[in-house]
Formats: sequence, C-alpha cells, structure tokens
Amino acid sequence: MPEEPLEPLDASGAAERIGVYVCHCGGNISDVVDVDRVATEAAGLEGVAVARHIMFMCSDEGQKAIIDDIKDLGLDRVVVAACTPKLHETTFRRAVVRAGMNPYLFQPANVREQASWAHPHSPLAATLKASSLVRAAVAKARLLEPLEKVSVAAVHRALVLGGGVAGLRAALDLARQGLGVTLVEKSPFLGGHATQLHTVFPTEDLARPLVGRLISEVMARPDITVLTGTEMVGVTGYVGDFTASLRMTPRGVNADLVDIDAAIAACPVEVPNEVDDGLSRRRAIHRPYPDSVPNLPAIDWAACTRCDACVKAVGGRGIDLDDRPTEMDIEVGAIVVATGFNHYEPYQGEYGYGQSPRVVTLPQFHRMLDPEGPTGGELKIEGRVPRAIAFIHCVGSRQIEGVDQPGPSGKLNEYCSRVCCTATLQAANQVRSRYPQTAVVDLYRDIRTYQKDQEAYYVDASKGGVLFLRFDNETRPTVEVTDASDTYPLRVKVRDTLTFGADLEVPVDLVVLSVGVMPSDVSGLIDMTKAPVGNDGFLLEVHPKLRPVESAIPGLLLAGTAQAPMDITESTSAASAAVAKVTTLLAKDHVEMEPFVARVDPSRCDGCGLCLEACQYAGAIALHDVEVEEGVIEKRAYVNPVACKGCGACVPSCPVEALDVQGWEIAQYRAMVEAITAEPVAIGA
Amino acid sequence: MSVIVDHTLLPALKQYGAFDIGACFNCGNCTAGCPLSKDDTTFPRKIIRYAQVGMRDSLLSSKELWTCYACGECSETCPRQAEPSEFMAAARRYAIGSYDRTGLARTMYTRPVLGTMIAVFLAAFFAIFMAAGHAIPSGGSLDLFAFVPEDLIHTIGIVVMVLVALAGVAGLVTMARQVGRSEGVGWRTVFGSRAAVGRSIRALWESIGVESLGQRRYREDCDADKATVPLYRRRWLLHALTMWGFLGLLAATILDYGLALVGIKATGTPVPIWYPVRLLGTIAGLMLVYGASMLIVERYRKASRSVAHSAPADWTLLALLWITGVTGFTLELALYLPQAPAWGYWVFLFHVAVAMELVLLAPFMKLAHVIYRPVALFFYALGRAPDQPDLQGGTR
Repeated sequence: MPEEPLEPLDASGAAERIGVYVCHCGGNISDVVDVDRVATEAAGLEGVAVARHIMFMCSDEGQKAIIDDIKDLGLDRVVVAACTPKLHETTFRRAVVRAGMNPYLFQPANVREQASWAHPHSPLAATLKASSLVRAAVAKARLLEPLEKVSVAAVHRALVLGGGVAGLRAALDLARQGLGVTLVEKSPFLGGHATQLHTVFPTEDLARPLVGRLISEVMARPDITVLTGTEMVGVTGYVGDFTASLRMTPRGVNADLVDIDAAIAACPVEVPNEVDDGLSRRRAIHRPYPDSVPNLPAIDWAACTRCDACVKAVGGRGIDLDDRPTEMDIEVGAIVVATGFNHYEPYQGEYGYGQSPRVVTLPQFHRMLDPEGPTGGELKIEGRVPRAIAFIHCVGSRQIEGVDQPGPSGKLNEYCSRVCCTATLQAANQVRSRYPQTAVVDLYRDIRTYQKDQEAYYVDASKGGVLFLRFDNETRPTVEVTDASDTYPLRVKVRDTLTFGADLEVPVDLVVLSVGVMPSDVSGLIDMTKAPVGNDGFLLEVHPKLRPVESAIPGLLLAGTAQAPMDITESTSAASAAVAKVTTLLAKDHVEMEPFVARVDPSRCDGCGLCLEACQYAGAIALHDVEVEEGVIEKRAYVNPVACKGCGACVPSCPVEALDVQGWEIAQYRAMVEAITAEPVAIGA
Repeated sequence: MSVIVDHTLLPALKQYGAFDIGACFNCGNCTAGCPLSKDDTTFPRKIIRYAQVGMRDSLLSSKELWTCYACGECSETCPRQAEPSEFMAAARRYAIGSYDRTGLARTMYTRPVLGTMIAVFLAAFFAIFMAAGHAIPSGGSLDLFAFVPEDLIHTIGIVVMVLVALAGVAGLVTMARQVGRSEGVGWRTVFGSRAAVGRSIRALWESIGVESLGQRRYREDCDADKATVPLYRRRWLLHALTMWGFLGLLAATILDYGLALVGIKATGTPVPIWYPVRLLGTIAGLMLVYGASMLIVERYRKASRSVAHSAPADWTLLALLWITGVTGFTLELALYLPQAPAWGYWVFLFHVAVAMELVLLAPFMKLAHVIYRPVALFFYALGRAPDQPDLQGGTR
C-alpha cells in the first residue's frame, strides 16, 4: 500500500473494484518493462481489487481472465495496460460487455508504443513510465461512468453528388437496396468524363454506349430522382438525417422543343466545346452528342447573350430564356460523394503546349480518334496523317520539387494518376493498328499498367512497334517547335536511360501529353461538411485499408475519383462499396454513434453562449430556454449529441466548466495528471 | 550531339530474319545471363537497343555482334520470348549485307527466292562453262582432267579466289574502319610503336589462333553447361570439325596445286590413299561431312535453342558445305572403284561447280563470318590487353 494514498478528487463517484491487467504482448512489452512490478504496484493502488499480468491480453485466455474476474470478483471497472487502443480497444470493450458490464467502463493504458517500444534501452525508466501510465488509467477509470451510444432515426434516402460513372453506379445500387435516391449532377448532362472517351480499356467497349447503358438503367427507375444542372449548396444535420440544400440551374429548354437542330443552328454564340476538350466549338444552346441524357439541349447561361435567335427559330416553343434558378431542401440519411476529377491542364509552354497546335493532351487525342469527335475519327493534322507521334507520360503527375513547375495552386501533384499509362498505350496501339505507317514513340518514366488485363496493352504496344524511351526522375524531355525549313514541325529531345543515357532526338508531327488526374474543385463541399482532404487535394478516407470508402464525417461516403485517381472499373467498385456502407448505416431504423460527445451541466451553465462561438459544427450547440426555478426561464446551452463530433473545442471556451466531453472529462484528466505526478510506489510496500 | 531516332532500321533488320524483338522491354536479362557478355563487351541488350532506336552506325560498328556464338542462352532466359539470340543472328546478316558494297549479300538475304536462283544459276554457269566443248572421255578409268582440263579449273579457281579476296578485303576494311572508329583504335594504336605491334600480334593470335581456330570461348563458355549433350553432338565441336574440315580441304586443294606448280606431282596423278595431301584431304573431308551432316540434323530437329530458328541463309551454307563434302567423297569412291563408273564425270562436274560457288559466294552469305568474326575478335582482344587504356565506348 502506498504510504500516502492518493486523495480521490471525487470520491463519491469513484469505483472501488477495479481490475488491472498488464499484457506481456509476447515479450514486446515484457522484454523491457517489468510487468510483474507494474502489476504489483497497480495492486496497491486505491480502488484496485485485482491486478494480473498475462502473456497476451487480446487472446481468448486474456479476455476470459477479464470476464471471469468481473463475474467472480464483482469488478466495476477494467484497465488493460497493453498496446495502443487503436488496435484492441474495441476487443476489450466487447469483452467487458460479454461479462455484462457497460463498455465505457473499460480504460486502456498504452504501455507498448509509449513505454517498451519508446524506451527499449532503458528498462527501469520504461517500467516506471508504464507504472505511471497505469496509475493514470486507474485514476481515470475510477471516474468513468456508464455511457449509452447516441441513436438517430434514419432517413431512408441517400443523396449522390455527381452523375458520372461512379455516381450512376452508386445511385443504381442504392435504389436496388430499396433506398430512395436523389442524384444531382452539376452539368446539364449525365455521364461525366467517360463520355469523352472513344473506347474504354480493357474491354474496348465504345465509351458512350457503355455509359449509356448505366444511364438508361438509372433513368428507368422511379425511385431515383435525377437532377441535372444542380449543386448542393448547403448541408446540415448528421448521419441518418442530413438536410441538403440544392440549387438548380434552369435548363432554359423544355420538352416542348421539337426542332432541336434548328434551335442550335440559330445560335450565333460560339464557345470552346468542353466535351471535345476545346478541340471544337459549340453554341450557347448545346448538347454534347445527339443521344445524350437528358436529350434536350441546355442553355449555357454564361455564354448566352439573350439574343432570342433560338427562340425565334423554333417559334417560341420550348425555350425560356427567363428561366430562373430554384432551390430546394431534401432530407437524406447519407451522402455519396462522386464529384469526380478534372484533367491536368498543362501550363503555357509545358512540352510546347500552347505553342503549337500539334501539341495536344491525351483527352484531346481521344477525341481525335473518336468517329463522333471533331475530326470524325480521322487522325489528320493539317490534312495529313502524322508520320510520327510522340506520347509523353506523367505530365502533371508524380511531379518533383525543383524539377517540375507547380500548378496555379502552388502545389505539385506528387501522386501517380494511375490511369494515364494504360490510356496512353491504348491510344498508341490504336494509332499503330489504324495507321501502320505512323511511327509511335512513347516517352515515359515508369509504365504502370497495373490492373487486370491491362498489361496486355504494354505487350501489344511493345510488339506493335511502339518505341519506348525512358527519361529519369530528374530530367524531362523537351519539345521544340521547329521553323518551316525543318522537315518535321516538332522535335522531341530526351536523354534515354534505356539507350545508356544517350541524348536522342525524335522528329515528330504530333506530341500527345499524357496528362494526369486532379480532384475537381470541392472546396464548397469541404466548407459545408468539414470532410478531410489529403495533401494531394483528394477527399480522404478514414483508413485506406480498413475503411477505404468512408470519410471521417459519419454518413459521408466517397465514390470514385473524388477520392483518388481511378479508372472506370475502380470507380464503379468504389461506388458499390460506398453503397454497401450506406446500407449498413441506414438498414436499421436508427443509426448508432459513439457517445464521446459534449455534455452540458445545466446547474453550472449560465447561458453566456461562448461555446456557440467555439463550435464549428452546425446545430451541435444551441441555447435553449430552460425553467431553472419555478417561473424563472433562462437560456442554457444544449448539445445535440448527433450533431456534435466530440472535438472538445467548446470545453475550454466555457468560463464555468459547465461543458465536458463524455468519456474525456476534465475531472478525469485532472485525476490522471495527479496520478502521473504522484511519487512512484515502492515495491513491497 | 544527339542521335536522331530512326524508325526505319528495325523494319530493315526484320527483313534479315524472322524475330520478335518488338517484345523486348529492355530488362537486360539477356545480357546478364550471357556467358560471353562481360563488362567491356555487353550484348545482346545494347545491340537490340541500337536497333530499336535506329542507331545504325553504332550497330554496324559493334564488335559485340561477332563475339556472340549464338548459344541461345539469352533466348532461353528472355522473359518476353523476344528471341534475342535470333535477333543477333539477323543483325549479323544485316551487317554482312551492309559491309558488302555490291548489294549481292543484301539480295541473297532479303530475297531468298532470288538468292536461291542466283546460287543455282551460278553453279549451272560454272558447270556449263567447264563442261562446254568437252566430251566425256571413253576408257576404262576415270580421266577427269580429260573431261575438264585442270588448267581451266585452276584458272577459274584463281579468278574466283581473287574476286573473293577483293570482296572480302573490301568488306573487312569497311567493317574494321567502323569498329576501329567506335573503339578508338586507329593505325597508330595498332602499328604506332614496338609495344603496339607486339600487342597487335598477340591480339591477332588471340583472335585467329585461340578463338577462331581454337574455339576456346565457344568451348569453355558457351557450351560449358551442356554437360548432358554427348561430346559428338556438342555444338562447338560440330562447328569446329566443319571449319577444320573446310580449311583442311582448302589447304589440300592449294597444296595439290602447289605440288603441281613446283613439279613434284601433276594434278590428277593417281596416288595412294596415304599420300600426305590426299590423306589431309580425306581426313578434312570426313570432318566436314560429319560436321555439316550433324549440323543439318541438329538444325532440322531444332535440337537446341541455338538452332530453334533457321533462316534460308543457314540452310544454304550447310547445303553447299555438305554437297561439296559428299560429292568429293563420292568422287574418291569412284576413282578407287575397280570399274570406273561413267557417272563419276558428272559428280566431278557437280563437285567442282559447287565448290567454286561456295568460295565465290563466301563474302555474300553466312560464310562471311569467317572474315568478320576474327576482325571483331581482334578488336576484342586488343581492348582486353592489359596495357591498353579503356577503349570501350558504351556501358551496359
């Protein structure tokens, strides 16, 4: 027994029958920390009924020891000194539940990462530290209170943001699970970037009919509401019950419009056509291709001059240039983010981009290969089939500081965009098979045709006569625009590591830049939801392996290229995975969440409202009228446990200590600090 | 100075042999596994790369082309089944076609039908030219030189030799200049000083004596791990027997002519089988027939990786060697038969015509390696001489 036992801070609520279990972790802990001494010292702490050390606490045997002790000795709190709680907190909570105890009466102490692994060469110090950590855990455990999970009634409808392949797949799968779906797409048409491709790898299906199949399945379902030209502009609420505000840009065109071609032909405004990546021009009233969905054209309000030419051309039927945006709120239980990506836009002069029309991006080149594209699928530049084409990989991907130039954001795209290698080789192979006289040179840093059936593209390219030249990480090829005296308009220079570092020069008629994938601008979404974003600008999952499609914001799921560069296969897989997560959330009538949320002690709160300013989550804290005495009504803070994220920002803002985060209360922290700073307990005392 | 990528070299090379080098992804396993590729001479990857990028001059000035013995090890270990060994063979054909300035070699290689027609026509021409105006002599014994006078044969032979020497030297000089330039070897390096001359002589011995006649690296490096193959089927031995046989027969023919010139023995004088020149010819002939026959069988059976692929040029050379050897023996048989058969004259005509053709076409067909390989091996030996500064240009 300690000579000077700790003064419990709040003896009234303190538990008196605590079980302490010190884990050897098979030597990971016990090789450094004297676990017997730690257990012995713990046994002497006030409130501890039993202290043991066991080889593996996470094993069945270890868990059984806890359960047996709870039943036999009537334990009321459990402390396990073992590895990081990230690993086995859930294991031990479940163990105590099996013995009939509230799971939140369990307290971990991390004596592996924080003691034995941190101080492997100082066994005594590690042992003393482990003892301190156990004392702190015991001190906190004495003040733990049983908690109940927060439960929310679930709305059986999901919102899907984005009408590309990932969003379409998600919407369809959600509907098939019996959930109502609202699919919103920012642009006036469904299908996303996939409709800009000619054929897709590795199946070589035509992209538009393929996406068209998905679209028609979505459109055929009455339980999916499709809203094009629509953005989410606000969201409140929490998992199970979000309120999303949607703003709908009017189409300006309705089903009364019969002669679509006449209306489009009448429009005098021409702007670059985003569907052809700027290779062609379109009118202000436009549709991307004849069988687009929706099939009605839309007015590009930014380009339209309200000249009424289209209206006159169709006799005023079906076009309304006075259409105004509308807004609506919808209730949803979960949100699937399928906001997609943008292609990297090379800067002026990057590999000759912008300096010669013969330097194009891979998406533009795809349009040139597509019979529905601006060239009718004929690969011709200035009337001639190119004699030689150079493809340059990793443009805007895997950028290196000091070698590559950062984009407008000032950041480098350090990641691999993953899809461009196979897409480039696919295009190269098409050139070689359709135009055998055209030489193809492929300049790369590394080829990553990593997915199922994609290596075949590399093999085909190699066998098909594509010449591969490899530049290293520190050097980049250069593209020179030659003058009229040269027999070739472009010359690509590269130091080729495959030719023993020789400086090679490739005369070509066309350079194709294999541009990378960048996240589309989701800053609005991030502001609204506080969804975490990775260094690369893509939305971040909770854990890449264990929770790969969940955002840290409960109820917010990630699908497709909003999360990372993915091909269509991966995007639709991710979408289906996100749907699986939505259905596990919404399958029951209620959504359960951890109880680690803020709590107000109404007897201390004086209604000053400072906590409202500290809180960054909408609707998490509010001031409610409370009848403090008979007839006296005052403002008191109120925490909505489902909106609160348990961040604790409100706690220090409260001048009267009326706020606490459950499970992490100030009194508990004080007890821990006191316990750590107390004298070490002498052995054998 | 940058190299301009040339897309035409690879298709040009493909005309010289069916190979799948497009599958190559430059991993370098071929070079790593090659028993002959050392730090100072790396192949086949380097040569393959020259071909892919279109570095024609670098390819033609590579001694490495000829230091390879086509053991097939690289084709065995190639993870892409790109057949680097077969590529090396095609590249050598291309080099023969390029060093030869008459264009005949190129025709022989790239247009097999026309090439075969040329070969047949040439043999026929020799035969008709020699047989024209001479009736088959009647009589009990074969009097071959009454049918085709030895003077005519000797004169044609000398003309053929001179033509071959001219073409051979032209090709040799073309090649030596190119390789020498890329290796940094000039006249001065070879003859500039006493030490240089000494070194050159040693290199010449290495190249012609140890390597070409002795087949040392072929025997020790390329064939060393083929222990399961019995000695009588070892590739290096078959090749060596064929070569020794060919050279022995050439020597016997020249010696016979020499004996006639100095008046010791007139050509055509019947001699016993142990007569030295005849004995040399008989033994050499046995070697040639055995070597060529086995090489044909091995190649036909695709017995090993090294003969997995055969170009028309491979068959043409073996066929000419075999026919020369076999007709020679048939002729010898006819000479020693008690009753001289009349077909002996036709065999004789055939034998002489084919032998003439074999020698005449040497610089324009696979046999040209007899000229080019020693040159490459000379540069190789020179580069490896201990007192020689680092001569090699590229790295692996």
